[in-house]
Amino acid sequence: MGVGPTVDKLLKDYKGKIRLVVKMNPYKYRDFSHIAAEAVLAARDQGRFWEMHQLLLKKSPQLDRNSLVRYAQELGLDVKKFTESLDTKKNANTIERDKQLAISLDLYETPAFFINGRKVTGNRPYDYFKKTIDEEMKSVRQ
Amino acid sequence: MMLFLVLALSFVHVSFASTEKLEPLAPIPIPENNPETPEKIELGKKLFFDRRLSGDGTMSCAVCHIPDQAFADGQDIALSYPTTKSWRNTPTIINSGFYKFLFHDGRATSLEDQAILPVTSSFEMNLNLDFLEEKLRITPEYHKSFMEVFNGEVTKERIGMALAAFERTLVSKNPPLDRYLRGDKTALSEDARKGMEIFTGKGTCVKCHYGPYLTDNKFHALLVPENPDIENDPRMLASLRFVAKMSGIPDYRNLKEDLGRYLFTKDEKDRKAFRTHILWEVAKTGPYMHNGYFKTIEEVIEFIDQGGGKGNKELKPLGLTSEEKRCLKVFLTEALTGEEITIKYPEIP
Amino acid sequence: MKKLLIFLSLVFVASISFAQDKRYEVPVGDSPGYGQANAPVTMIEFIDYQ
Repeated sequence: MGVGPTVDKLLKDYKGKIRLVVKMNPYKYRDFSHIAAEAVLAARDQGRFWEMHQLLLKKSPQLDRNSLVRYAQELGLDVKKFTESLDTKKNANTIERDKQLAISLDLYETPAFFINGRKVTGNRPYDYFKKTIDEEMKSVRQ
Repeated sequence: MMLFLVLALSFVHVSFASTEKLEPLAPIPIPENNPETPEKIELGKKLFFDRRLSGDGTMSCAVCHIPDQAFADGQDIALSYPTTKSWRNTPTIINSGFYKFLFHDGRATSLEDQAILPVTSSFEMNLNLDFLEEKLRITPEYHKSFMEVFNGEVTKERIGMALAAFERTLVSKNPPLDRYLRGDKTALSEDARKGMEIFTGKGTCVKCHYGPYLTDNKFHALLVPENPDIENDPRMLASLRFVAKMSGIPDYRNLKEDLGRYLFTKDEKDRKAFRTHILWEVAKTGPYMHNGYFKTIEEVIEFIDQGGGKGNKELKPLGLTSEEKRCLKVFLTEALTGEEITIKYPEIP
Repeated sequence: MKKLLIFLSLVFVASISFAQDKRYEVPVGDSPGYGQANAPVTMIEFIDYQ
């Protein structure tokens, strides 16, 4: 389940006031973390980032190459382009850049969030995020 | 007769003053069987941040003991292994080297013993320690480190020893009260000094929170209310009953409350008793108590001022004025907070 | 003397900066996401899909 439903609820409850930005931090020792990151960026290249992002969270941990291609089919993506992107690791630089950024921020777990630069790590309950976001909304208004 | 009484009373006063008073920070004791070396500390630090120590790679010690959050997690109930919910509050690791007993109920008597228990806990890191030995052994950097540090293979005991060595380095840095007690009379504001007088006087806090680490290393049943999530979140109830079962409590299936140290000792006097907490860094380690019931220091002061939970035998109502409570809060937050502890993050193999 | 004490206590209060309030500079760059760019709150998530 993870923090996905919490983030969805936050996006709904703060609609228009909050912007989510997603960076890749795949764990070295999980078999599909990297290729799933390639998949979501391949979908981004076809303008379909958000749908793939949601689908991957839903289908996790079934994120092997064959499953990912099936998801691309489900979303009506150009499957040939998508598969080529996976196999040539087209977005490897982006993923590596995001990983290096994570290291420079001393991140040692996922998920990790920065809410207007304030670090919130781990799978937190909704209220914890809400408290931080409300504080930010208040200080931004001032 | 009068003279005898006067002498006897002054003797009593001296005894009170000599054991139950504030003292500057003292060095953390290092056990003889686990001496500290820079390499051991560095190894312990790596292990502390390594999610390899959890079943699914999501959890490490640092997930709940977050350096940026005073080595706690700012939650009432600890962050937990996916699909589970823990049942107690994450205590800080700062100064934990001074505790004689670890965990809220004191079931461990050394940092070495404590450090590896959350690894095995199903609602914390959920990993079998025998399996962890193999995971670490096949990692060349760890195998090499253990060989260098311990002159031997990775073992559960050595994992605990390395973690403990790292944890012992986490101590409060120059909190104002420490400086004040060492002679810097400008280290505390006027309100903090007033609060200190209440802490050692009318507030009676010093009766349990004394010495260099502000703890008597004992257990007391203040009867803090149960965390409402025991009723609202079945996952928490499952964790509570699981621990009771493993502790050998016969009626664990119907249990709906945290029995505290009784779970471990089965001694009636320990029913719902919890460890006296070290108060250094208290401003940064809320929510408070074994179940995070109190979100703010004000709530804790209120609770103690009212004489604790209904029916408890430890506390009596204090009758503090609101000004006294305010100064007490200033003391607790200002005087006991050290400088930020920054650490160099390790490279995990 | 009183002014000095007030000043000192303000300095102490200000110096108790809790790490949660520490702000990190995290560049958004061209990373994908959801929501308007001019939203008052930006939440950057470092994610692992598995």
